[in-house]
Amino acid sequence: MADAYEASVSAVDELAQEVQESVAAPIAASLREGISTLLRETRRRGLSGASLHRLRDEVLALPAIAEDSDVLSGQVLRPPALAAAWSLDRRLHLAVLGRAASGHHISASAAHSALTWMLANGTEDDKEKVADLSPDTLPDAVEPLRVLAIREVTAETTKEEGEKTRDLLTVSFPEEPERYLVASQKGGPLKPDTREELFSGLDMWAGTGAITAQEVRKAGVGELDVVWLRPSTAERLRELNRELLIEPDVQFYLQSLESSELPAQVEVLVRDQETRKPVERASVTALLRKSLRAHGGYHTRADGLASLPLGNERIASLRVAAPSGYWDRHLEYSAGKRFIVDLRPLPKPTGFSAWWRGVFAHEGSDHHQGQGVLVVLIDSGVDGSHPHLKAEGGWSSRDLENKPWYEDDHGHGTHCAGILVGQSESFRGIASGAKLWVARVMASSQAAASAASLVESIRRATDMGAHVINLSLGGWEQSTILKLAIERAVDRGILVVAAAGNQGRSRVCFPAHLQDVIGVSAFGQFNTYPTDSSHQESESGAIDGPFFFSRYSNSGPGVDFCAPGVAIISAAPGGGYVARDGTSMAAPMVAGAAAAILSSDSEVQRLSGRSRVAALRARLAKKCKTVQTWERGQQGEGAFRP
Amino acid sequence: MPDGTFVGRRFLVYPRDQQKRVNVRRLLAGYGIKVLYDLGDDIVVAVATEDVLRRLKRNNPAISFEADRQFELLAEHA
Repeated sequence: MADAYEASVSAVDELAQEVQESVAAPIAASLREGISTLLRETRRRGLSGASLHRLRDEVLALPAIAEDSDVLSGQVLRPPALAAAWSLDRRLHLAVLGRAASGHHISASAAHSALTWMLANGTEDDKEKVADLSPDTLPDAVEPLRVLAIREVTAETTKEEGEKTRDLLTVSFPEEPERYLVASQKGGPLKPDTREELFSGLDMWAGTGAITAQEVRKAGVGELDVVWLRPSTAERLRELNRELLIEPDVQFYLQSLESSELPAQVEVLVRDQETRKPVERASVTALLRKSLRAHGGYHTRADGLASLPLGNERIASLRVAAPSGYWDRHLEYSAGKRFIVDLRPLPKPTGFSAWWRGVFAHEGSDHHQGQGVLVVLIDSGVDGSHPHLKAEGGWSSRDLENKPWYEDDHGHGTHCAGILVGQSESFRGIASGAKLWVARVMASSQAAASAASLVESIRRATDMGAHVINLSLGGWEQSTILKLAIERAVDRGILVVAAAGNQGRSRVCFPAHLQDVIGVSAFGQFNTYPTDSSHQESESGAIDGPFFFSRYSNSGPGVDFCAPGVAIISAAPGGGYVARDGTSMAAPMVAGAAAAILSSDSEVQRLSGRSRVAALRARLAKKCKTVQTWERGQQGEGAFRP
Repeated sequence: MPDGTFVGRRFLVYPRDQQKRVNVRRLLAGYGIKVLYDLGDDIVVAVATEDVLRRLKRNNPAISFEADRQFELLAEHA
């Protein structure tokens, strides 16, 4: 059950926005301003349980306000407000149960309240889930409460049972440290003096569990302090420091719950365009009118249907993507209770006929391109069971214990691996003869890696004698120690290739912009994807014949080459193929080309250290063409185009 | 303060000059900071507060530290 609660806090953020939208449109400006302020505060403080409770109370208060107003109609306002409040309530209680199921300390009263609410007010699915919860999944002390809660809601409770419940609610649970946010009363970071005073007395004893930077970031707490405290300690601190906010950093894990949200108002049926058979596990994202915010997280079931708890008048367009085997579609939504989306199967064969592959044709047997060259892919892992991928080995960074490198929940690393070394009767990567090692640096629930895990993997790749390292990742913050790890790799003759970033900015992200790194931007080719797919959104006005510089690709100093990165078909977890966009896809194109060159160029092979890297860079440049209509910052030395 | 109270964020701590050896682990231990793990060449991942690390650096200029930042995958619609 705990897995079901893994997702990002941004989903709550979206919900908050949705609440705002659903109630703000018909109401007065002052009310809208009040909600905005509340949402702003809620976000700033990290969406703790307390904040969400406040938001819920505010929403529940709306019908009363509406009835007092001449302008507003309770009928207009009440249903969405109540629905939103119900949804917030449900999330709060689910979060509580999720914490219990994942072994966190929760109080007896919280458990009781969550269980009874779910049984009385949850969806049918919720009720079933609570009724079917295995006693093994809950802490011992919670299980009796669950049994009593079921009796309480579904049957007459006996006097003895009522007394037992009261007894259980007084049980003192053993205290475990919990995460707390510490901030000033205004929600901002503590002043240095205050922090010094507050924390100087705290024991610096470590080992109760580290908070990772990504957790802090995910919680959206910025510079706020995150502290592990026992609840009783937190209470004492609160009493001693009344000018501070010290509140539990309750996380809300929602993404995988969306499909069982409010009663569906719109159903989307996703089918195979040719066979008309339902497509399972396709993701459905609605872009909302006015805000054009993405409202995602819905997936089709075995019958090809996904239920969206949205009024159909709010949906502007839908983006539907299958996990593999189909082009995605982005299409205008026309009102209706059921909307049918037919997905086109991807073309077969994929690799040999791909428009981008000819660009990298290299002398020598195609089958052996890259032979003898060791490429290390630092990414989200690779599906080790994919029949057309062969990785020699790999590792997971120390942050990811029990997350093997040969599993890939994101599909990102698998896709990059296919571009590098994919090999089947119909598909071939650019350096299919190269030896691939995989460094997994990402957990299942997040698409980001810590600097620590990157430093660890780059150093390890360097020590094992890698020739090429691919980094299809980046960020806007700098890391000196990561830069030093890359310098160390380049000193030893390793070519490090990184993606320029997808923000469409005239600035290249870190580490691609480093002098020592080959930064790669992306371009696409018209008519290589369906016009109603999301790939079309990558098109821009920077055109060179049939090619265009990708609208999302970053550019500027730091771009060394431009490579194909739109509608790239490559391997997907589960054995299939999928089309993706991104400078993430362009980087392994260049890494693969470098491996192919190194494999066949004996002159480069004889070199070592930085001389080898410089020679490889020069050989790559020779394979490029300067595109006259593109700026230097867009293509660097040139583009790998046919 | 009670046992089990813990304050801090993840930091990478390392010798300012990568060519020189500094026993970073021992320096951190002196300030009560526990090292999570070692990345080699005296580069360590530790959990601490920035204030404490600043004090440590003031007394030991041979070390550097930085917050353990995040880097994201760069595929669209992923």
